[in-house]
Amino acid sequence: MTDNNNSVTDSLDLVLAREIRNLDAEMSPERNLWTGIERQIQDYPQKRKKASLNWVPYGVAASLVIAVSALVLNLVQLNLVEPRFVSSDRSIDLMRAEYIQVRNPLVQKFSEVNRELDDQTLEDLYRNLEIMAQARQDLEAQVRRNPENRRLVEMLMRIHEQELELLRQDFSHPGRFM
Amino acid sequence: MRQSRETIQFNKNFILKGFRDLVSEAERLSPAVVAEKLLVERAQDNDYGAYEQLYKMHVGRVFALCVRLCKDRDMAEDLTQEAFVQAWRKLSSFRGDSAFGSWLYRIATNRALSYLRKQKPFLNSLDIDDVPETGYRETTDEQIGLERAIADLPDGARAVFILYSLEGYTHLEISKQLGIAEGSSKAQLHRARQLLKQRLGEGINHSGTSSV
Repeated sequence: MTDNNNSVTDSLDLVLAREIRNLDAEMSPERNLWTGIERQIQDYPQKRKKASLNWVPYGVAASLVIAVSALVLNLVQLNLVEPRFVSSDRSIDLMRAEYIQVRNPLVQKFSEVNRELDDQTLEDLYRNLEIMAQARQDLEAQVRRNPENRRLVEMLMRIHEQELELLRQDFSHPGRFM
Repeated sequence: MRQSRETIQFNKNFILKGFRDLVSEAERLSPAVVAEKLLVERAQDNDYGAYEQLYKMHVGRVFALCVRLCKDRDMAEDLTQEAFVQAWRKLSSFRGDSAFGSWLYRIATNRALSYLRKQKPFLNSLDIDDVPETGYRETTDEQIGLERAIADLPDGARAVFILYSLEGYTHLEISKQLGIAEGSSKAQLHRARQLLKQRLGEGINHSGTSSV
């Protein structure tokens, strides 16, 4: 009898859980509420946003990384694209071109510095570089589709940093960077 | 000095972990999420059209929340309207740390509870001692859906059930929202579930199968 009661209770718990899952998440109001909302919100215009402070740390960090890279590699004339104004295919192209300009010499040096590593390790490193390059391209495509999305641009910059960091490493010597 | 293979592996893993985090972060930025973020940013720049699109995306869920909490469709429409107006007024302070929808539903919940707190029967129903052992209100329907069963719960038990089981609040959050002890919130939820199961059991007995 008790077992039977427990079984009924268990089954009701399951039925209740199922019915909760099946409840409609949305309902439609009969009135058109937007008209009233629009009338009221027009009395409260949004205050102009100041330049987003969220950009500052990323901008500073990115500038430092690229500037230090430029010094170490004795590269000159690095014209950084101001990240907060990335808003068109043209500016994204420019950002990419300048990034490639830094990256490609590093790739060449990378192979020279790390040539003493065994083949398997080199293969691993190059495979990782390819994965990063692919991720960078995917992210660039997303940025092109959403050029105003700051998070995406920030992430693209961070991928750039990661790739440059990997390329600058001298894996043959601990703690040594190119 | 040659770097050991383990150290190389560690370096690679360290770098690639950061890389993988970035990729998973990118995946979380689905087109729908990105689109909503863009709409919020446009609305923050006084784009009423963008805010209307956000309204269309969320009005159904906000209204459902208000209807369930206050059980009065006319009042729920007013509360929904007030929630969207209040969200607009606070929009400049929205930083995007959570999804816009979650932020909006919190505002709507606060509006609805603020309304309920002004109703004397609701205040009385928050006292766990006043929750009837059985005692659904009379209804003429023989077979009733869960929606109706929730509406027929005593006010306090209904509010706690909706906030906990449908909106994902914790008992601590509910206790703060309703001004009751955390234990009372748990007791109200237990009572709500008992009453709902009682009603579900009646539905099963009447029809032979679950009809709710």
